Amino acid sequence: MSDEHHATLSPSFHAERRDLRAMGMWLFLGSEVMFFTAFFGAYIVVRSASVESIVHPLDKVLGALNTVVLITSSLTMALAVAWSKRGERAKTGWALLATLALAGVFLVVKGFEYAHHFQEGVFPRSDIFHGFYFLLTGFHGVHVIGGMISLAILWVRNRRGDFDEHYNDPIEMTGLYWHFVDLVWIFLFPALYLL
Amino acid sequence: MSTSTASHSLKPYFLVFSALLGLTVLTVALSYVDVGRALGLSGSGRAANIVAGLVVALIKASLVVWIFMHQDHEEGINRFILGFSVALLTLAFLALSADFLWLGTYVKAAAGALVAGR
Repeated sequence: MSDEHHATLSPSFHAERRDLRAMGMWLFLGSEVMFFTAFFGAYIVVRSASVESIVHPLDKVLGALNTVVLITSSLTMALAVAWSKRGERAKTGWALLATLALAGVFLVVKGFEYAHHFQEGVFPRSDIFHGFYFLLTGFHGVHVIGGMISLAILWVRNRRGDFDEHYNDPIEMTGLYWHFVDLVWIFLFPALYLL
Repeated sequence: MSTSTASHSLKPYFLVFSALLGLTVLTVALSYVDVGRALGLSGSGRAANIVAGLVVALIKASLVVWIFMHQDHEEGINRFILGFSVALLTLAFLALSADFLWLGTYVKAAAGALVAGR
């Protein structure tokens, strides 16, 4: 995995390889958009048929808290990418760690919410709103876990010295993915908790 | 074109972060207000709130895509991929909305039966 010869490669090679990786990542994110479109679309149909009948059972405060947590993690991720491009390895490490920790906080809050639902006897099959709630937040949560695995690997690799100002594509590509996970939540929060 | 060697200021990230926090507060605040009535559109029910909430979410999403994800100086092909995905998503949601606006009764009855049927 480590790229020991990268220091000897020409700058244009790095730039071209980075652009190809970015294109692959955007294509992947495009497929992710379609994945969430399907479930969101189904949710729109169900909600449109019963706009007045669904009373919001979710805790707005916890939802808003998790929104702030994810937005903050997007900031620390953006900083990690920027610092890695400047070759500031220590700062990059701290920013990656902060992003990982905030992702953990998000999952803990979500876990408390799930536990509360289960204690109250609310499950995915309880009603169609909760069916969609668990489906959408569940798939989003899996994306958060995937991001955390990637962030942990990046932190180790950064510490080991795999990245410098010429080669930091994995951090940048994980950044794109992480911002996408934040994006999905930006729509999930109002759609499920507020509207 | 690409961001490969760009080493730009961190200030925009903090500005976007502040804007996202502010917009989150706005979204939550809007959920406590009858937006339709506030705008003088009586009888709009929750539709005005839904539109307002989604508009705020779209603004937040644009900030993330443009600044955090660097689409402000990304390659043309990546803009095309993003634009195409958003276009397909919009098409899918418009088609669904059209069903409800013009084929209302039938679709609502079918979906309503699904909701009620558990």
